[in-house]
Formats: sequence, structure tokens, C-alpha cells
Amino acid sequence: MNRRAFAVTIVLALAVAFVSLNLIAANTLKGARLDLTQDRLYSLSSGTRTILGGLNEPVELKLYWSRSAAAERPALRAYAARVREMLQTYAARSRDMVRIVEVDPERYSAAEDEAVRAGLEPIDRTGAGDPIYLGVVGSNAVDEKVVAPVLPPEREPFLEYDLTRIVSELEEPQRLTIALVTALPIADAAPPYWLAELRRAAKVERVAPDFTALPDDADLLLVVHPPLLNEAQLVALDQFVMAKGRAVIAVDPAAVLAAGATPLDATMAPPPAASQLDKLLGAWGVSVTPDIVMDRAAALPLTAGAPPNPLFFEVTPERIARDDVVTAALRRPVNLLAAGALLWTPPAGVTVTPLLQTTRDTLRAPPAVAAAAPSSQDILAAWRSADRVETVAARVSGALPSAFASTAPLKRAVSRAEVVVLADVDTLDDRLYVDPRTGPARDNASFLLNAIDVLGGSDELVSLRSRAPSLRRLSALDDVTRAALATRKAAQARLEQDLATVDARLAQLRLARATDAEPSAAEIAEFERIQRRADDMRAELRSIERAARQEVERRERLVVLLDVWAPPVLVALIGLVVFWLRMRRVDRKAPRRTP
Amino acid sequence: MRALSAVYRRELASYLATPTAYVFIAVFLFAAGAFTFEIGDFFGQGRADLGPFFAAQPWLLMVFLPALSMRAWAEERRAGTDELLLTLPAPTWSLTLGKFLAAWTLATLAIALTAPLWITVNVLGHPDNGAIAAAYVATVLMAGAYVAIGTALSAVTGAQVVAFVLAVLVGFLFTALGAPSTLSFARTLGPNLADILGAISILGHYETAQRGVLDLRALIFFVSLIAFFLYATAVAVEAKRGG
Repeated sequence: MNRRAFAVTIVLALAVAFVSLNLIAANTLKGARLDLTQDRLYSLSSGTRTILGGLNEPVELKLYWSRSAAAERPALRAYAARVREMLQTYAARSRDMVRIVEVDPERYSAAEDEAVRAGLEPIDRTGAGDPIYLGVVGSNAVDEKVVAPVLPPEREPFLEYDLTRIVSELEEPQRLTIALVTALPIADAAPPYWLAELRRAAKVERVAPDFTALPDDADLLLVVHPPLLNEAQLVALDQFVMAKGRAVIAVDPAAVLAAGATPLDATMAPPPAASQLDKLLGAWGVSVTPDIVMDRAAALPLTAGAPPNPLFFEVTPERIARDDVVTAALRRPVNLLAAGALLWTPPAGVTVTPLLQTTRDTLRAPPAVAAAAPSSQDILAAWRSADRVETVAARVSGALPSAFASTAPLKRAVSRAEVVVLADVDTLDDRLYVDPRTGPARDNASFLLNAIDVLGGSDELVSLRSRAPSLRRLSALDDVTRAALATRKAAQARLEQDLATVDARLAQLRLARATDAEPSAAEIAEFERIQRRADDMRAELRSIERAARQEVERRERLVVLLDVWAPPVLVALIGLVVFWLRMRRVDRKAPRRTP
Repeated sequence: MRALSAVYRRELASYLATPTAYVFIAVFLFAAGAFTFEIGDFFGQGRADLGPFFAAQPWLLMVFLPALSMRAWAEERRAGTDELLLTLPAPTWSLTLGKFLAAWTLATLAIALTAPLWITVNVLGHPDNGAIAAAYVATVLMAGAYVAIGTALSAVTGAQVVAFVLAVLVGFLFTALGAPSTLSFARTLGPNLADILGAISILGHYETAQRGVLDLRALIFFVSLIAFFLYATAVAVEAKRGG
């Protein structure tokens, strides 16, 4: 073999070695990565790692992402890349149990049919052009499927929750069993909306009023307006929370609508006007005020056409916890009627997170006020705002102590319990949120169903909290735009007020002209002056807008000058100087060499 | 080691003595800025990160770095200094490594001079500096890969223009192998093919780093790619020495 052939052989052998090395690395070194992002965006929570580590069967996560349809949507593309990276992190941490497949469901393709069949939804239905899908379908070895129909960027804080949930449900597909304790007269044939929905997703076992124990197979305890419970029944509830650690509790110092309900048959006691679970909640450091809360700023009319009554108020999305997975998905307000307020001083190891809160314009009143149903005029006439935000629903999590620690056999079986407490029962009455023709108009039922849904997950899943979003804005430029908008808005309000005065004066002048035969010179002058003033005002508004745009553009130009033009010009100048110095040196040496 | 250091210093000095290096850096800086602001629509996106800048880097460096590395060996031949160089008592590896390191230093300098962009996003917002630092580290590694490809082809061909064209071509192949369209096409031919292409593509390994995650596999890929092309360079030089 000659030298050249030998060299070529060596290089070819090395090329094979290079490819093999990288293939082996690709398959064996998954997960050996350093997440250098400040918020550890691509590191998984311990709950997720536990779930991935415990997988017994392989799971396939199919990412449906309309890459080609989203070519013009850079923000969405960046978010899709974030989702893809996150999925790859799952695969990397799963000991090859999670496989990631990516599909582009292009319009009218087989992949799109498949996506739609699996239940995927376009990310925004309003947009023109081809539908854009960004969702995940998980499937396991027996082809069971769990779907995240859409992963919108605004839900990024819960991306890990949504993905882990798919994996968790594929590993342990289970139907939740719920033990329901309630004094509400519920006819099986005509259940309230929330119960009908709940029965579609879970098995609901209603316990008899004289129960002594809760069903063994129940995973979650749901207490809605409980009757007065005896000691043994309270112990049963307490022991359930100690053993299973999951409960959703709705009590009310003034259950206005429930109190008016008629029992299903004459032998049954009518539902109580108030309910409490003070013994249990007290042990966790939580209490519901015996007084009801009214909210003037969020008041709603009790009947159509009536003035808003602070007894009946809404919690709008701004006052719904956005960073808790229980409430993050709620987009519509939750209506409440004569709700109680939650107070808490939790023991060590227990945390209380407010989920639904009122405005500051609140007032507490004895429950008798609700029963008397005063008119809004009466309430508002006597209104003395407490200037206090009240919490009407909260999540209580941690090592909840038993209320019967000294007597009950079971101290605590779960390390971490999760309970959602709601201080209003009327909120679950259909009359408060369900439109008979169109269905629920508010998120009252969604609040309860989401809480049950989230709490029904495994310990690891429930432990996942919201994460910092990856999107960071150019806030300095946003600030300029926002400030300009605020200035414009203020100017607009001021100018519109001025314009209204000017218009009124113009109308006056016109009226005067209609009655008088000839307007006076002074009137004509004033008319013209006022018209000029109106024109000036409009011009002023335009100039404020222009100034704002110019300020942003000025900053952008400065940035382009400093980042695009300055560095190359500087380098070129340095090059010129170096070259010029070299030339001079060569010139100086040159005469000495030539005689 | 002394030989390596001498070769490295001689190469770096010769780069900086000609206007080529300055022109190269100036044009690269301008192109990087223009890609970020014009094509990447930096202001339109309004994000406090350097996503548009890093996204353009594989394609920019793929074209620019061969222009820098093409002279590494071909220039010696043109100037007739190659024979002198090869008869020096310096081992082949020190010549190869010295020339490579000098070109890589210059590439790193060019990348470092884009720092005003990093400062800008910090002035205009609160970017994830950890993620940006990771992306810069990966960019420098990727630049090393393109420089290694360029020097190898400069040693093999001995003509600057040919070296440039071939280096862009080889660089393009390694880059485009990881492009989403290539991978989805490869997937139709066989799922394993896509995995293989992904494992040896520059784009695939660079993508993760762009978002702030340094993967050991990417590190192994870039280092092994550089090592392979440096070895190929050394084999080519050795063949000339012997022949």
C-alpha cells in the first residue's frame, strides 16, 4: 500500500470511528446535561423525576406541532422549541422509557386527521390561515391514550404539570372514587350541574347521613355543606384526611339557597342554614368566619335589572390565583353569594395558598343579614368599607395534624396532604352560574372540578408547582410604549372632556344663531375660536402618539447603530491603522536598502 | 510545545498583519448584527434574549470561517513557504494544531466582539444570562468545528479558492443534516437514519445549547469533529512531508 492510500484508509477508519462514537454517545449519554438557565427551565422537579424513574412500561409522547403553518409566528415557534426541549428532557431522564416523536399535522394531511381524531385543538381558532396545533398525545404499550389537546404559551408555568400528568396517567390509568358528604337535597335524576359533570369523570359514592365510616375505596373526600356531624363521623373524616390526604371542603356560614331548598321527602330533615367543619379545619390552623363577606366593588345584581347587591359578588380572573394549578385554567369569574371568609394561622409544615379573593372594598356582616336579604340600597346606605381583601377559597397543603391526635388510632399516614377549602356553598347552586339554555356562564363548577381533578393526581403530580416562564420581554422598550399609551390615554380623557365642553358651547351658539336672525361678530369669533380649539386638540392627540412612536424608534436606531454599525466600523478602523503603521515601517526601511 | 507555541504566534501575527482578518471580522460583525435585527426581527419579537442572533450563527460561521481558514495551508503553498515550513524540526501535530488554534482564536475574537448585543439585551430587559453564556460557549465550539473543516481542506487541496468552496460544502453538509426538513425526510426513509443524521449534525447539537442547556453529547460531538478533521489535516501534511 502506498503512502497516499494508507492515509486515505486511516482517515476513512477515523470517520467511521467518529460516527460510531457519536451514535454511542447519543444513545448512552442521554440526560448528561448542564442546565445553565437561571430558572432551571429544563430541569425537572423531583415529582416528575420520581414518576419517570418509576415507569414500568414504555410510553410514547407524540408532539403535534404545525411547524410549517407557524412559519410566521416567531413567538409561538420559540415556545414550541421550549416544549420540544422539555419533552427531550423527559426522554433523557426516563431510562429510555419515554420516546418522543414529532409530527407536523399539515393541512389536509393524514397527520392532521390523526391529530383531530386524537382530540387535538388548534391553538387559536380565530386566526386566519391554516390551523396551528401544539399538543401532545401520550400512548402506552396497550395503546391507551392521554391527550393534552393544546399547550398554549400562556400556560407555560404548568407545562411540566401538563406533561407529567400525561405520563402519570398512562402509567396508572385510574378512575377516581369520591366519597361525598353533603346535606344538600340532591335527587339522583336531577343532580346539580357540578355533580353531573363529576359523575362523568369519577365514581361518586354519596355517604348516608348517619354514616359511621367512609368507603374504603374512596381516593378523595368531598364535603359540600355537611350536616351537623357527630364526634365519630368527624373522626372518620379526620382519619380519611390522615390516611389519603385528599379533600375538597365547601362550608358556608349562610347557605342562602340551600336553606330554602325543600327536602326530597317528608322524612328528611331540611338542609341546615349554615355548615361548618371547625373541628377539622381548626387543627390545620384554618377557620371560616361566622360572619359573611360582602364585596361592593364586585357586586352583582341579584335579579335581572336590579342594582348590584354586595351580598352577591364575583371573583374575576384577576383575583383568581394564576400560579396555582387548581385555578390557573379558570378564565371566567366565579360567583359567590353570602360567602364566609377564610382566616389562617397554620402550624409549622402547613401552608395556605389563597385561591379566590375579593376586592378591598369589603364588609363583614352577621349571617342574619343574608337571611334577611336586604336591598342593595339598604346595604350601600350603611356601607363602611373594611378596606380588606378577603379570601373565600384556599389550598391547604403540608403535614396536616389530626384533630383527634390524642384519641384516634391513626396519626398520619401521608407525609403531605392537599385540601381545598371553599367558604361558600351557594356558589355551587345552578341558579348562580348555569344558563338553562347555554350551560355554565361562570367558572363556579370548573373551580370545584379542577380542584378535584388536580387533587386526584398522584402525590408526585400534586407536588408540582408552577414554574417561571421562559419568555422575558425587552421591558425598557415596552415601558416606553406603555408610558406613551398612558400619557395618550390621560390626554385623550382630558381632551375628550374639553371637546365635550366645546361641543356643548358650539351647540349653544348654533341654538342662538337659529333664534337670532343675525349672529353677532363676537359670536362668530367665538364660534371660530372654539372650532380652532377642537382642531388643535385633535392635532395634540396625534402628536402625542407620534412622539411615543418616535421615542421607540429613536431607541431602536441607537441600538442598531451601536450593535450593527459601530463594531465593524471600529474593527475596520483598527485594521486601517495597523496597516498604515506597517506601511510606514516598510517605507522607512526601504530607502536604506536601495543605494 | 515550544514548536506549537511558535507556530501559533507566527500564524496569529500573520493573520493580524494583513487586512484580511480585519475585513473578515468587520463583515462578520455587520452580518451578525444585520441577521439579528433585520432577518431575526429582534425588535418585532420583543424578547430579551439573543435567539435571532444565535439562530443565524451556524449559517454565518459556515460561510465566514472557511474564508479565514482557507489560507492556513494553501497560502504557504502559494507563497512557496510550505517546503521550508515542512523541513523545520517541528512535529506535524504542532504545525497542525498551531495553525488551527490561531484561526480558532481569531474566530473566537470575532464572536466575542458581538458582546455589544449581549449588553444591549441587558440594558433593554432582564435576559437569562446563564442561557446566553451557554449559547456563546456552544457557538465557540461550533466555530472550532468549522475552522477544523476549513484547515483540513486547505491542507488537502492547496488552493485557497478550492479550499473555501469545499469547506463551505462540507460545513453545509454537517449543518443541514440536522435541519428539521432533512430529518423529517430521513424519517420517511427509516427512523434510524434520522437518529444517525441527528447524532452527527451541527444544527442538532447546537439547538439545545441555544436555549441554555449544555449537553455532554454536544461537547463530545464538537470535540470529536474537531479532532477528526485535525487528524485528517495532519495525515495530509504528513503525506506531503513524506512525499
